[in-house]
Amino acid sequence: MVIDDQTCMVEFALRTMSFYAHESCGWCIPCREGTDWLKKTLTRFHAGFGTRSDIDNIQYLAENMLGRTFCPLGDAAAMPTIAFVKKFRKEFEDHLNGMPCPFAREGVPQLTVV
Amino acid sequence: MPDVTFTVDGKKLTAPAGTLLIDACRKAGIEIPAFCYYPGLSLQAACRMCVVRQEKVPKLQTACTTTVAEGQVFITESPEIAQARKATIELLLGNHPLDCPVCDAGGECELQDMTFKYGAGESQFVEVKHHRDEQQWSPAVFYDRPRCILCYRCIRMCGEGMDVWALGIHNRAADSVIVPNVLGTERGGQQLDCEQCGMCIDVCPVGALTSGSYRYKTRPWEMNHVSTVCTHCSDGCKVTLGVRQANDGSEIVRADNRDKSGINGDFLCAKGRFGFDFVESPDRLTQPLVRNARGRLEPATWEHAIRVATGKLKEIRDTRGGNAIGVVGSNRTTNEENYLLQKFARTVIGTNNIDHERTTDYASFARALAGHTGKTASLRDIAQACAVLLVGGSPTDEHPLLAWLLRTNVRLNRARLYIANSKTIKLARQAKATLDLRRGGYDKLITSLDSGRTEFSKAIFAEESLIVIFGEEFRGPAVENLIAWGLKRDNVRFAYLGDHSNSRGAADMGLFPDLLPGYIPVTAPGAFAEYPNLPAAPGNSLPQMLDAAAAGDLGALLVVGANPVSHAKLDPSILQHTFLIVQDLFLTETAALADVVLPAASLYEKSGTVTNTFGDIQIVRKAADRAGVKPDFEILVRLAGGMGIDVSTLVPFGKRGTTGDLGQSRGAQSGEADRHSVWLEANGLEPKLSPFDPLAALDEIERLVPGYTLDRVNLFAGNDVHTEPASPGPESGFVPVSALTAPELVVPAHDTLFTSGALGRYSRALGQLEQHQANELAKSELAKSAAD
Amino acid sequence: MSPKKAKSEPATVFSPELAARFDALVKKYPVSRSALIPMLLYAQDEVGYLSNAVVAEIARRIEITELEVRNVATYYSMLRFKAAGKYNIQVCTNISCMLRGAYEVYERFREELGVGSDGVTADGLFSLEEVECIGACCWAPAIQVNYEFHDELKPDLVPGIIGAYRQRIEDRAQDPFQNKEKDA
Ligand code: SF4
Ligand code: SF4
Ligand code: SF4
Ligand code: SF4
Ligand code: FES
Ligand code: FES
Repeated sequence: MVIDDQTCMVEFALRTMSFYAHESCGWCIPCREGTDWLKKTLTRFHAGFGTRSDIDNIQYLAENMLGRTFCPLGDAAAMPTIAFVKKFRKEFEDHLNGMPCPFAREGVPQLTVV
Repeated sequence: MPDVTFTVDGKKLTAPAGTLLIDACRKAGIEIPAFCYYPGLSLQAACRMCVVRQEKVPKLQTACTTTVAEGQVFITESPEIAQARKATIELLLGNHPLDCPVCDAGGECELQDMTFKYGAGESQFVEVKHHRDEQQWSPAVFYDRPRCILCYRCIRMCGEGMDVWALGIHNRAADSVIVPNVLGTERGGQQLDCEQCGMCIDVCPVGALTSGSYRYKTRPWEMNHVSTVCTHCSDGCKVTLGVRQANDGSEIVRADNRDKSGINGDFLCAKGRFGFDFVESPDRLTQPLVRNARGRLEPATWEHAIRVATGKLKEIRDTRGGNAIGVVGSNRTTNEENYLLQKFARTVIGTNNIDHERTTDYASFARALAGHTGKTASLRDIAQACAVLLVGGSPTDEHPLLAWLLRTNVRLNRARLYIANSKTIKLARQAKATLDLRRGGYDKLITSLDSGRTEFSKAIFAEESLIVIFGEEFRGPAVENLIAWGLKRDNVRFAYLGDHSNSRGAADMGLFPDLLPGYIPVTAPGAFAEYPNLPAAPGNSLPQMLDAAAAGDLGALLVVGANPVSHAKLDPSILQHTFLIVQDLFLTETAALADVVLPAASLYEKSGTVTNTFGDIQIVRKAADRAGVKPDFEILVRLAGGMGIDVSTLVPFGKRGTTGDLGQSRGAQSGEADRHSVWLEANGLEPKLSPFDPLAALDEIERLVPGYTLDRVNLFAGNDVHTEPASPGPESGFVPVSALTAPELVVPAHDTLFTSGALGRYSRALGQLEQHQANELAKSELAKSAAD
Repeated sequence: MSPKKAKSEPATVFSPELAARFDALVKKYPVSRSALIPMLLYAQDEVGYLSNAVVAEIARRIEITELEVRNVATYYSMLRFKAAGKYNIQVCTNISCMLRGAYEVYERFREELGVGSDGVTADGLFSLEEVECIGACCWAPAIQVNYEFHDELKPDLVPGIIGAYRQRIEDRAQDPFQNKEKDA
């Protein structure tokens, strides 16, 4: 997939995680609770209510899902998340301090998660 | 499976190949945490708490699904594993409410324990937690979704264990939720239409499923935990009662068997788990009642009541003879009480007019097996049997533990269950083959078994060993025929089903007009010849006593824990010329007619032993206490004392020589207490110091009653000890008498899951459950007729 | 407590064709409960949603409990327990579609229809749903209306799509032979 530099990676991480949180079957604890927690945190974070410790916590949660779940869906949710935080930490930090999403464009609704 | 050797944390362990690693570790004392694993239920691998490191395997493995093989190497504790477990708990706690201070599970919650152990004490979780209101699914079962960790133990227990399948899981991911089988409507929430056993609550590792009778009442550390035996059906589940101080004694707040000791493991049915509240019933008698000059029952002191009762008993005995008095015993009192009651009748009153409300024909069973040993099956035998033939009855309702053990044996050990019945019973789902006795009835059983033509009979004959379980459908000669059929083959053992917690004990202890304890005929009393003044002729059975009462020939009737007026559907007026003494918990139909009513303790308020219908003896320990009542044992001793008897002739107690004959003589002249103490010494036992100590009677039972030679170490440790009724055999004087063991004397109780004779009527919890299930039934009938 | 067999065959909630189809379907699998998911889908297409009566009849047909039917049915988000609109508009907002403006499209549907996610318009004609990938990523953003796809969407195209469906209903109302619609 090709993504241009106008795409918010936090939003991207959030949308990815809401997908996994929806698809998780709920069988095992790490996947069921991990995807739900990450989705909630990323939603809040993207809306500008994040804290610096959230960034580490996102990585911590994802790393603790990896390899611990019943099926590979948990791994699939954890791996990109770890990569997003590691590779795009700067974009996460740009959301801190109540700042609105730097990529927000006129007329584009903020991602709401159902 | 051959044994294999593998290494866990540097220790070499050995276990049969294919054993689950978690089981092998637990056996070796290596604790592996687990939420979803539950022994005996299918595997889930859902909670990921049991992760361990296996050599040469890239990911952590779940110990609950890993089977051991030769040469494997495991590590169960390391920083990596501790972190994995800690993280799992952190994730769980994310959505978990901070309920511990009010949660029922607090103090015995597996999540609390693990949080403590793995130190997931701080939470990074700042999001909004999922919330859902607590739901009540039945009078017994409440569900609090936020506390649920989705281990699926409850679903599996209900489905696999109970074969009810009333619980399910809806939705998915974080919205997953445990649901009961009846859909909510605008008029009410979701409901459970099930057997209401509470097993789901029992296995829930957290406080998500809570019990209607226990919730928010107390905390585990505020209770005393007393292990005793259930007082309801005749299967004899071991039950741990949680007891707490109360204003008028101590009250039972919970019943379970979480330590899994006893033949029932963790199983209890609705009656055992919730039906203990009859002891708290406001209708409980707590004061003796004596009928006054105006013909009303009025409260009296124990001294007065005993004086009135014994005065009259003595007067009638002395003027009209002992046979003008009758005695009716109970199916729920202890062996010691039953033994004492018959001894009281025979030696103090001087009559063989003693009987009980027979729910099955144990006397014929004993007679049919006389002289054969090793032919009765204990519950443990049944739990492990390769093949069982179940004839008649409906164990799911009448013998819930038996049904549980049969189901479990089929499920886990692939036992073969054969069912011959005139109805379709629920256990047929587990049966390998069924024989429909709708036509022909039970008389035709042996013929069709012997025919060798049907698949059913062929399969039975192919079995190398067999346990035959049958019930009141077989009485008198039918019992003998069935047993004779089995005795012709090697390796057939029997179990005979009766009702109520100690009906077998009542029979074993000789509550018969013609049989002494151990089914010894009164006409050939053997060792019982030492009873002073033992009347030689058989007495009257219960119906005969009632006939005598109607004819005005029964001067007095002592009824202990029985209700012949309701049981035999009597016209109350026939007792108007009989002086009636009743010992009971409640003012039953019979007690209401009595001249003296003596308030008795329930099985949960006294100690002793009981024998289940399979002949397994267990120890009963006093758990609760109720001011004003006395155990039947003590009441009987007081009645004997009131009649001027030296109670040491009735209950052997006291130090050697103090009440006896100072040891000058032995044999027929020596006093019972002294004889007893000689026996005690020979058996390395202590003398009993109080006449109210039922263990003194147990000593005598062991000394005199054939078959009751007990393994005391096991018995007192709380284990079940098997006895056989027929050990003496004809050569030791077991001669069949007994026109009196007539089939029509047997009136089975046919209890359901929620009834239990008088006890059930006074249990609010059971009443509510019965009502709930009746409503559910009515609703589903309604829905069905609407759909048609 | 247990799946009870009906004494006589009770009336079915399905059309004779679907009932016959189910009769055949159940026999097709070694274990009849394998037919559960296809049955749920066909039943929803015909009845519109999984009513209590639908659940009860499916349970009866494959001899499992209603609880088990619901265990499965509640798992899938495409199975409904409430009626949707005549035209159920499913807007994909997954990654590819999102990157190409799915949320703008979705937002426009909300405005035009005046309903939120999972909402049904007052006239019962339309319902709106946000869904995961519908397999049309190459032509993102895409939506699915009942079984019809619309792709390469822009917010401005939304009123036209809605209008076309409204038109279709009006046409049908005037054509007595077309009254019975087959969208499937
Ligand atoms: S279930 Fe356990 S951890 Fe949860 S609130 Fe109850 S006691 Fe606390
Ligand atoms: S109470 Fe017993 S029968 Fe009822 S849902 Fe729980 S486990 Fe199943
Ligand atoms: S209710 Fe209890 S037993 Fe059932 S899934 Fe939840 S935590 Fe496990
Ligand atoms: S099965 Fe019988 S003994 Fe066991 S709990 Fe139930 S009533 Fe009591
Ligand atoms: S106990 Fe092994 S995963 Fe739950
Ligand atoms: S992401 Fe929308 S169709 Fe695949």
